[in-house]
Amino acid sequence: MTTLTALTEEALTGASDAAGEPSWLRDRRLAAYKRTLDQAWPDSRADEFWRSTPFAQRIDVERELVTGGGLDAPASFTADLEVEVAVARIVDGALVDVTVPSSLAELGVVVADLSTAAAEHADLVEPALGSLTSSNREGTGGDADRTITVNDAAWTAGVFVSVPAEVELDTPVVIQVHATAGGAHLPRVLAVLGHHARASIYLEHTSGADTDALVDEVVEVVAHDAAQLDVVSFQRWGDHVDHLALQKVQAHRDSRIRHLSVTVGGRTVRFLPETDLVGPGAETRPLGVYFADEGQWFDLQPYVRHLSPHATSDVLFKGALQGHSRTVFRGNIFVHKDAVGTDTDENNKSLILTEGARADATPFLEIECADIVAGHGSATGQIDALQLYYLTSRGIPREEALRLIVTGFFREAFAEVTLPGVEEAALTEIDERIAAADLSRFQVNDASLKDHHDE
Amino acid sequence: MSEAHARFSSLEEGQPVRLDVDGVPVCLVRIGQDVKAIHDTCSHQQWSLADGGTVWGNGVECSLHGSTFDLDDGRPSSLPAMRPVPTFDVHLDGDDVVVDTSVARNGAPFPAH
Amino acid sequence: MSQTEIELPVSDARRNQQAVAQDLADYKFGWSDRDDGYAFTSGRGLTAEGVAAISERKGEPTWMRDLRLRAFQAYERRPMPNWGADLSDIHFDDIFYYVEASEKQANSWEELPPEILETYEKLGIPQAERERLIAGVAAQYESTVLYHKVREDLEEQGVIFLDTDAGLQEYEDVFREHFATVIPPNDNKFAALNTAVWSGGSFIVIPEGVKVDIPLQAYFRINKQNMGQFERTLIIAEPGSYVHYVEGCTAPIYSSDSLHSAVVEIIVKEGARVRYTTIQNWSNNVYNLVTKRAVAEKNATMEWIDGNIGSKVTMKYPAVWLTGEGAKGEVLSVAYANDGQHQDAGAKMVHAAPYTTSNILSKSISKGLGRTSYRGLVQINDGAHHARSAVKCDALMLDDTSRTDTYPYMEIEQEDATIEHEATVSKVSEDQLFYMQSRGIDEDEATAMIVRGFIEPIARELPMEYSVELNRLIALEMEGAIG
Repeated sequence: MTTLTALTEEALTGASDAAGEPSWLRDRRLAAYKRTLDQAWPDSRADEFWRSTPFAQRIDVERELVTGGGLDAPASFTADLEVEVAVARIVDGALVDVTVPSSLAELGVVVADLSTAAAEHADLVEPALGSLTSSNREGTGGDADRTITVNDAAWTAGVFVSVPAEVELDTPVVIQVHATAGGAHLPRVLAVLGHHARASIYLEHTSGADTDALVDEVVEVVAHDAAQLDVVSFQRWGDHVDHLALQKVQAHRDSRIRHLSVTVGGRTVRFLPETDLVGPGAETRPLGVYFADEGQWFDLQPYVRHLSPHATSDVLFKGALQGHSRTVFRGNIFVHKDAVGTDTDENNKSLILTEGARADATPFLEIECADIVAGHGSATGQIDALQLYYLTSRGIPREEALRLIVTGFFREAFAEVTLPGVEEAALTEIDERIAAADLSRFQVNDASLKDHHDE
Repeated sequence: MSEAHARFSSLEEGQPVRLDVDGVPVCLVRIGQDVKAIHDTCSHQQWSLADGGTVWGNGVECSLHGSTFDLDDGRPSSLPAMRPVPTFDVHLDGDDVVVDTSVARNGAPFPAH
Repeated sequence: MSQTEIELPVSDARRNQQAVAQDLADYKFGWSDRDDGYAFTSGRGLTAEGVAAISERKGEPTWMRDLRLRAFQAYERRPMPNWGADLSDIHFDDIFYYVEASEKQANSWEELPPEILETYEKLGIPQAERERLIAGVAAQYESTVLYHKVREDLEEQGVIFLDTDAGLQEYEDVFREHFATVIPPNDNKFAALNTAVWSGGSFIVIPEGVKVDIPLQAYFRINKQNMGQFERTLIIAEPGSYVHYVEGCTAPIYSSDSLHSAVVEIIVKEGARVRYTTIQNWSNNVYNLVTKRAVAEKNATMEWIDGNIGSKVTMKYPAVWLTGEGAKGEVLSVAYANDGQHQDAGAKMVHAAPYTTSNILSKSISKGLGRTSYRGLVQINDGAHHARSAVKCDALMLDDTSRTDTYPYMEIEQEDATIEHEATVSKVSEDQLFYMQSRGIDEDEATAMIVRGFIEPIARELPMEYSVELNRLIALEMEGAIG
């Protein structure tokens, strides 16, 4: 047993050998471990990408690494759907079970333990694993960020997903990450979609209500030419879980990526959905919905790099806040010199429901190429009195009207999401938050009434 | 009888120390034979005052953007901070230092985050 | 918004424009004066002893010396900023932190050493004063202000316009009450450095109700190679007063870099209005790292107009803390970056009271290997209800090799704030050029016309001669006349 600050070469070698990992993977872990020796933990005063979350105050890395022992995870929300899904469950730092329907296995789809896959599918795993964390992260400091390198070195439970070329899946691959033990959890996911493949991957993050844990997660996905990928990540943690996540997609020629995150649980969630648009004509749609309540701190950092011509990105994050909560939208669009014909848009909207909340928005643009279309915007507001008035004047009770307005605010983010069960599951989470809220404390902006009156 | 939160003999002159007192982060400063306590959260960007902070006279300077807070009235002597930080009563009993965080003695509101 | 009136016969104005333009064209060849024979220098590099020596040389009160030493500690402790522009080529040990070109301040231009007078004549400053285009003038050369004059009638109304060292000596109480209250010694690394070694700058107090009708002007000149210029400006506008302060900056071109790191603090009291205009044309080997911040009290208005044309690197974000109900803040900025230049400029607006309003308009032009970055903060504090803010950033790229960034920060604690943010990136299009060329306008002139149109919303806010200077400077830069 060791803490994140006290990893050793011996322990890593031992764990790698015990998991039956091939030597290239062990060597890679040790190389990452050596990088950590030169790295300090993030300093929020000095590191631009950590300015929005005070690392020293909110992230405790002096925790024992959790390497198994937990038994069960709650049922996936997809269990209620009448579809056959592939499921992998990571519970307390160990991959406890993987189920792949035979219909998928027959198509050559792989959902497996990453340690085992590193040997059995080395041709796919070796080039992809770590390719998005250890280099080519211009500006994000990936190499410099110890929270990511630590996962490279010491991830304890990994899932590998492979969807062969031209295979199109109609049902999702579900990966559950569940924490019951206190300590540090280091889950890892690698997915590779062949050319013209289609798949959706659901990541469900849950914990025990009282579990006090740090989950430091890395998800890498490579989408080859013309692949279609949906990543949906639910953060439904209990109140004592801190979650650091890098979920990064490499998008090749003409691939289409949608990345939806639903963040409602957790104490501190620092979530980095990233896309590198490396092939011409690739497209990414990072979507985020979040609802922050008393004591929660969400730092959402979608990052899109346009590294190739005629690619498209459209970022939309919508959040609601109540109580003493804090949300940060730190978007970044980088357009490389070669990325002519880029079309990009970046938007963040937040709804401050009660006093005491704070919403920060920083929609950044970095542009090296003039032949592009770029836009960005942000808006922060509160419930519109005029809208409320219209609803209540039609006989809808005030509380119900408030609920409708907040739910309606989020619906825009689901407009293009046609995945089975996702919108319902997300709105259920949000409804639960609203149901638990004291609606009488919701602030209503009367500015629109005044403006209306002035006209 | 309250439990001691720090030892006077372990405090260095002008060297702020961060403590957790009943869940409240406190910045403790020894000035001569006296000990003063202020909430450890800068009212500008919520940085820890003890973390890198410097004591000047009766004030502690936040290391992030340089606002200096008076250890008695909690008020900043300059921008960028504008709001006072709560200060607390400190009782010295021999070597025991006891901080009362139940109430801000300058009446300043506690930070939200 | 009303434009500052300049009463001047048209022919004179035109002559002056031409003279300014001609001088600036000459300046582009990089003339400089001799840099030996200085009255006093602190030598290269900086130590606590050096800081104390500057204070002693100036005969300052103990509290100022202590504040300098405190700031020096902070400066030493603070790391270099790791965001914004690349500052890794600043060699702090090579810099001259304090250089006096002359023992005493002149009361007339003729008293200045002839080569220094010639410098200012080329820049057109004495001419402007003779023509009464300005109500007062300060000319700083290296670390000290060599010439200072304010119009007699303003002096009679109680307007104080002194160099900052004289301000400390003559008005110590009011000075101490306000100094470093807007920007503390440890605000950031470069403000700390300035507080440690500051010299010169302007100290201005406008009495209650006094409206200064034409601008006060300061001109800052770095002449020496590896010079560090650290002027410090403190402006106090008493209730109901008005002043427009204009500063210009130049330096010759050397092979090694100089550092300009000013701190400007402005206190705009109830119902007062201050407009602060900068046309910065440092040569392309000057690091221009400036902290500028104002406090606007109840119903006060603070306007920053900022033209960043020169320098190797500029990092500058003029700020307004809107602390009084109904206060207004505005930043209008133009930045131009060509090869080897990075203009990282923007604005900060902190809404700390109800019914406060802010407006930021940023126009940037990048060319060649130049890079412009807008970096701005709008913060709405809890309790600042009915705040409104509008931010508009327009970037114009003149070719395929330049770069532009937009880094807006919005920190909102109040539910009913109205915030608008808009950014555009555009390129001088082939269509536009083709259209104009087909009407007999050559490509350079066509591009210049497009640029003039692009910056017009800001140029029109400037006094006429500065508007001319701004356009002329950008035209010169685009011609590539600069070596």
